[in-house]
Amino acid sequence: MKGKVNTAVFTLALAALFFGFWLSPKRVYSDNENRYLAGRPALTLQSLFAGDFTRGFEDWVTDGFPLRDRWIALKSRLDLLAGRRDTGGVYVTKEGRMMEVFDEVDEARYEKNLDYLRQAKALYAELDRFDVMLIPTASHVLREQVGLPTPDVDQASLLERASDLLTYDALSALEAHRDEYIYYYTDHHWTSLGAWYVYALRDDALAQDAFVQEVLTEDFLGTTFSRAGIYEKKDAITAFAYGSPTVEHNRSGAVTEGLYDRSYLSKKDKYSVFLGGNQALTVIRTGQEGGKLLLVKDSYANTYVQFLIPHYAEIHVVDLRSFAGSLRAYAREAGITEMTVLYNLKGFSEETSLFRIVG
Amino acid sequence: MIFSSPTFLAIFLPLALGVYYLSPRRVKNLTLFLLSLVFYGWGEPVFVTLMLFSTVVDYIHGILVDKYRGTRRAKLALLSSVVINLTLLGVFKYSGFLVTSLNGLTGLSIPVPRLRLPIGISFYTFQTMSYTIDVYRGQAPVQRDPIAFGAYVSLFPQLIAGPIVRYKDVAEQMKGRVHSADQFGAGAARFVCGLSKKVLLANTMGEVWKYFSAMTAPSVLGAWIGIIAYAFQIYFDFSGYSDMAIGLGHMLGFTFPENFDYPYVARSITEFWRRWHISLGTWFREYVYIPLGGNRRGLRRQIVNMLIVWLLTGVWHGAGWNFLLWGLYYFVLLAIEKLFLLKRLERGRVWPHVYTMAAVCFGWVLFAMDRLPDALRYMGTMIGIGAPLCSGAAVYYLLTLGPLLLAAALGSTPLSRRLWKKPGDSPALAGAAMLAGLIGSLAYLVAGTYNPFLYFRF
Repeated sequence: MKGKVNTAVFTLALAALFFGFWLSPKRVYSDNENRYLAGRPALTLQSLFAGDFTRGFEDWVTDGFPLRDRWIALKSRLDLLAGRRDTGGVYVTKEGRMMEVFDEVDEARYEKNLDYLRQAKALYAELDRFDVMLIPTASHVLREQVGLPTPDVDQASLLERASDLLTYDALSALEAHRDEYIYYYTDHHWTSLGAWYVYALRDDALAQDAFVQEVLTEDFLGTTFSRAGIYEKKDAITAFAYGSPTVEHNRSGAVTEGLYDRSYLSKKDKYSVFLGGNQALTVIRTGQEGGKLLLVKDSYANTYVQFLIPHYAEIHVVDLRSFAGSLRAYAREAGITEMTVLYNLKGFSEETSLFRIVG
Repeated sequence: MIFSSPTFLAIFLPLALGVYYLSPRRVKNLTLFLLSLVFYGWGEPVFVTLMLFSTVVDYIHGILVDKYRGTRRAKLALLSSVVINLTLLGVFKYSGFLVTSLNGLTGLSIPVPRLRLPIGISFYTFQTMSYTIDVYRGQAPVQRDPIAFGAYVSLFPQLIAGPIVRYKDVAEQMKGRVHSADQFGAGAARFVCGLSKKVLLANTMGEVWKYFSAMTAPSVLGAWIGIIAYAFQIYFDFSGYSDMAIGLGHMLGFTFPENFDYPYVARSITEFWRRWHISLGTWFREYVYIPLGGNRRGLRRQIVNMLIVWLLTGVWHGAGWNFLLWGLYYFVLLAIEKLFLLKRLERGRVWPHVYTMAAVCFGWVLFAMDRLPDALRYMGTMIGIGAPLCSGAAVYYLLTLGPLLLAAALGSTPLSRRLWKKPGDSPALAGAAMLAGLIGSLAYLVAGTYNPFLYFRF
C-alpha cells in the first residue's frame, strides 16, 4: 500500500513537472530579476560538443521553470520559517523590512576609492566647496530591528576612516530618526525623508515645509523585494518638490519639466521616478539664484537632489559608471563653482569607476 | 547533469523512467545503456568516449581472463586491464599534480599538462577494474553480452558519485530484474530523501562554511560552527547522493549496496571508516589491503599495508597534497587505535564520541583547505590561538541556523529513523512527507538559479 501511494505521488509529481514545463508560457524578461531570461538554445553539432547546448538547455529549463517567482518566494518563506533572519542576501525584520546584507567589505577597494576622493579634493581646490557624503545603509542604521547581533560590517568604523573627507555626520542624523520612515521597506535606498534629515545638517537648509510634499505612489516594491521575492508591506515614494526646475539628460537637447519622471510610476522600477533613474549626465536648471553645483553620485543622490534645488542655479549630475570624457574639462567648461560627492557606503566600497573623478 | 537540478527532475527523469518502463523486458538493458550514455554525454560530450573505451577494454579483458583461466595469460590479461585503467586515471586525474610536484621538488620546469578531470572517472575506473579482478578470482561470471556490460559500467544512477558497485554485487541483476510498485515507491521515497538532504541541508551548510572559511579572523566559536557546518555539508551531500543513487536504482529494479551507516555516531576512527563511504573502503580492502597480505603477515607488515591503503585513499579523493596529508592523518589515527587506543575507546561512553568527532572535524579542515598554512591557521583558531572566543557573526549564525543545525545533527543519527518509523508506516503520511520534500527541494533548487541583476539600471 505504502509503495503504491509513493509510486503514485512520485509519478504524478514528475508528470506535473514535465508537462508543466513544456506547456507553460515562457517569459522573455523578468521584472523581478531585471534581466532577460534564457531562451531555447539551438542544437548544432558544434554547440553540442562544446557543451554550449547542454548548458544553454539547463539555463532555459531553470529560467523557464513554471511558477518560477512562486518557488523563489516559497524558498524565502521556508528560510524564515526555519528560523533564519536573512534570505536571498537581505535581512528580513519582524516588521517586514528587508535590508541588504553588507557582511563583507573589499578593504583595498574602499581605501583606494577614499584616496581618489582625497586626490579630487586637491584637484578641485579652487572651488568654493567640496562636500563628500557617504550615506550608511539600512542594515547598519536599523540593525537593531533584526533583533540579533548581525554579521554586518561596522559601517561606523568605515565612516570613521573617511572622517577627513566627510562634511556631515549623516550616520548620527539618520540614527537619531531610526524610528521614522527613512529607508524603504522593500528597497535598498533611503527615502526622501531620510535624505531630508541629512540635508537638514546644512547651515543654509530650508525648513521642511518650504518643499511641497506629494505622495507619488504607495505601490512600490523595490530591489530587496526582488531579491527575496516576498514582502509584508509596499512602500510609498514621496516627492519634496521646490520651484519649477527643468532637466536635460545626456546633452540630448530634450528638456523636460520637473525632477520627476512619472512614467516610471506604472513600471516595476518606480524609484527611477527620481531623475528618470541613473543617467551619465543630467543638467538641472533650477530657475533659482546661486552657483553651479557638480554632483558626482550614485542612485542615493537621485532622492537627495530635490533638496539642492533652492541653493543653486544649475546642478550638473554625473554618474561616473557611465560618464565618458574628462570630468575636469567638463567642470571647467560648465563653470562649476561647488562640488558634492554622494554615494551610499556599501555601493561606494564596491565602486570601480571612481578613478574617473580625477580624470 | 546532476540529480539535484531542475533539468534532471523535470526533463530527464520523467523521460528516462517513461522510456525504461515502456521498453520490452529484453531490451531494458539496452534502454538503460543508451539512457546512461545520454546522461553522461550531457555533461561530458567528449569524454563519453573515454568511458566507452574503458568499458570496451574491460569487456575484452574479462573474456580473455575467462578464456585463459588458470594460465599465465589470464594473469597477463588482468595486469593489462589494471594498467590501462590506472593509466587513464593517472593521466586524467594525477598528471597535472605529479608534474607540478616534480617541478616544485626538483626546480625543473616541465610543462604542466592541463587536462580537465572527466566526471566520475574515479568511480567508473574502479568499477570496471573490480569486474576483471572478480572474473579472474572466479568470484563473478564473465559477461559476454556487451550491452549488459555497458549498462553496468555506465549505469546512470551511480555513475558519477557512487556508490562504487562491484560487478559481483549486481551480476545477477544485470540478467533480469523484478520491477514492482513497492520497490518503485520505496526507491522514490529514498530518492526524495537524498534530494532533500543534498538541497535543504548540505547546500545551506555549505554557505555557512563558505562564510567562515573566507573570514580572515573568525572567532573560536565561528571556526567551530564553520567546520561543523562543513562536516554536515559533506555528509549530507555525499550520503544524499548515495541515497538518490540507491533510490533511482530501486526505481529501475536494482538493489545497490549501502554506502553510509550514520558515520557521525562512531566511537572510534576505526568505526567511523566502517560507516563512511563503505563502498570505497570495501574496494580498497578487497583489492589492495587483503592482496597485500592484510593482517596475516604480522603487525609490522599490517601497519605498512595500512599506510599504503590510506595514502591511496587520500589521493583517491583528489590530486593534491592536502588529500595525501588527509590520508596520512587517518593512517596515524588508525594505527594508534590499532596499537592501543581502541581497547580503551571501547570501555568509554561519552569521550569516545567527543574524540572521534573532534578528530573527524580536524580532518575535514585538512580536506577542505588546499593550502596547508590556511589549514593550520584555521585549526589554530579552533583551539583558540590568537582568536576571540566569540563574535557577533558566530552568535548570529548559531541562533539563526540553530534549528537547521539541530535537524542536521538529528539526521546524522539513527534516532531520526527511529522517530520516523511509526508515522512513516502510514501511507498517507509517507506520501505527504515525500511530496513536501520534493516541493521544498524544488523551491531551493529554483531559487539557487535565481539571479537578480539589480544594479545595472536600478
